[in-house]
Amino acid sequence: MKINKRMLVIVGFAALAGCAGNKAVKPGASATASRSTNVQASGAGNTQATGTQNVSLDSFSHLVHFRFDSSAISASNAKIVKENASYLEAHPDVRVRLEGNTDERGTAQYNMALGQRRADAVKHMLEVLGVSGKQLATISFGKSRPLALGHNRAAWAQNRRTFFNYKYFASK
Amino acid sequence: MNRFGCRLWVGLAALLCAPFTMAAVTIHINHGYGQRFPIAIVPFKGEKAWPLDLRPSTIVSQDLTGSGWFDCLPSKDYLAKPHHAAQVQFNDWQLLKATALLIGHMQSLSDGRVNVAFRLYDVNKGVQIQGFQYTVAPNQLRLLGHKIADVVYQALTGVRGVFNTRIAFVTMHPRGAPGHFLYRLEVADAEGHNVRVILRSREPIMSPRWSPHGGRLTYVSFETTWPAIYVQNVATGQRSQVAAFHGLNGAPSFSPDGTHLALCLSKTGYPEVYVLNLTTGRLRQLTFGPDINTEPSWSPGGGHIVFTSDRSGGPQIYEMTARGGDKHRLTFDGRYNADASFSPNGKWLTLVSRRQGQYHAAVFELADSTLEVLTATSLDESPTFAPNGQEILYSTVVRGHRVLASVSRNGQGHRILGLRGGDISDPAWSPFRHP
Repeated sequence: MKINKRMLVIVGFAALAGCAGNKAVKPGASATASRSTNVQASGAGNTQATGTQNVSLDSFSHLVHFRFDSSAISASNAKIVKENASYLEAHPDVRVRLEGNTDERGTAQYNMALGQRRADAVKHMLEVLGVSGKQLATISFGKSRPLALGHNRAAWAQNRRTFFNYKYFASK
Repeated sequence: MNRFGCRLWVGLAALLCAPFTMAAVTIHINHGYGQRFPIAIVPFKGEKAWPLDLRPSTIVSQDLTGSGWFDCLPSKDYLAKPHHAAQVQFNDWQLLKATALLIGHMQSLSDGRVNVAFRLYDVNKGVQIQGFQYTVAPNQLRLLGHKIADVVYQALTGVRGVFNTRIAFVTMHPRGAPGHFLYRLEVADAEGHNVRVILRSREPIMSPRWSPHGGRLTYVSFETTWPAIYVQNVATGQRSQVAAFHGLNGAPSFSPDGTHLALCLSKTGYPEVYVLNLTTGRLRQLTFGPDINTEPSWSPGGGHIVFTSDRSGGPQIYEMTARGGDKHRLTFDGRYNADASFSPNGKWLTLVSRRQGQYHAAVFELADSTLEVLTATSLDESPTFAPNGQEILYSTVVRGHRVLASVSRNGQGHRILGLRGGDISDPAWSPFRHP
């Protein structure tokens, strides 16, 4: 428990340090896979090396992608959810915000509902895998935060995603 | 490539200067309106003493040209430049093939106010159609210009003009890492001039909607890092947070009497349509079930609400009473119909309809349940009726940029509002300020 808390503090510090160059950036605002700060933090914090606890946050993806108009989790994406589940189970003090997003096609508020479904689908799978609901929060950004700015299939595929935002609560 | 670089640079310059140069440059690309009214607008006597954007003839020309229904004949071709009734020779204007002629004059008064008078003539009949005189404060000159444009528009088309109305929209500019933006909720004159920033945030802003007389805006803002619904007085900036429940807080829409909001909440676990009493804060849930129910919009009489639901498998438009009764499906044409809102006369809905993978602004006629796609663009969203019902404003992608565009209700006329800076989405056209 102690170790986890200490680790969290370091994660939080690193997250803040990562944003230090731009104070206007809200620490919780990250929808990107900028994990490098977390990497060092979780590595450094883990002095007690025991099995899954030693897994660092950067050793698995924080992004789950979806097919068009779907919130179903494919086999390859299920693997990513499982890796996140293992980490969360091994770190019961860590909370994550699951951020559902859509591509730009269709209407803003219908996409908000679709994005929520994508966040909820990941949350549901994590809970089935044994993660406590208390560690999980969900939010939808709909189409309002595209990672890729193009108006084409490649960009859309990147933008249909649920992001495991570990920084959100770590920096609170 | 060169052009793109140039555009990027202009965009950047616009951003850097944003607080000082809020007036937007509007470029209209008009085609397809068919026959237009050729009109001669003579520069008003005395207007040269005023800046270009306050001169009546300039404002009226921009408004009428922008509407797509008028051809303003170039003043260099005019054989005479009359300012008073006695100076008008109709022959001069018949030769130019003008169907209408606008003349006028303005004069500063000793108390600082300005006197503006105009006359509108039917050139072929050789008669005056309209003539008014106003005395206004200098800061009212732009509004007055729009008012004259409204009078001309109504006299010649028979339909009330919308030049004194406004549009609200959201702009987003990339800032920092991918997925990070600066969002702005902005309000402009209907023709895209006179832009004012209502709200700025590093978190998303979406779905603005106007109150019945255009005094307030409701919108979704993530500024707390969670979605919440706000109501803001446009003139004073005073605002309040009216919904911040667990889950979705989205799609707010004013009732026609301005006392209630219809909105979408997912506090039960599923997106459902609710009505919120803005005075008491009381919520009434109107839809039930595990499907998506969102994007509510009131009928002009307030008796009905249309909304988007995927209860049939994909999004379609449904209608119910404002108390949640008698739910029935309206759209059956196509597999994606969403975000419907009523025309001011209640006869039509405008909505987004998907055809062959392309998302188009469309009109649904309630009397005979026909759905007509209006655009050839492919990523349309947020269609919104002009308060006179003649035009639909929407957001779409043109040459890689999200812009505002409009289409006439019959699909004949198209134009693009070239508001500069960033991607522009979520337009909402205000109602008339005075009914």
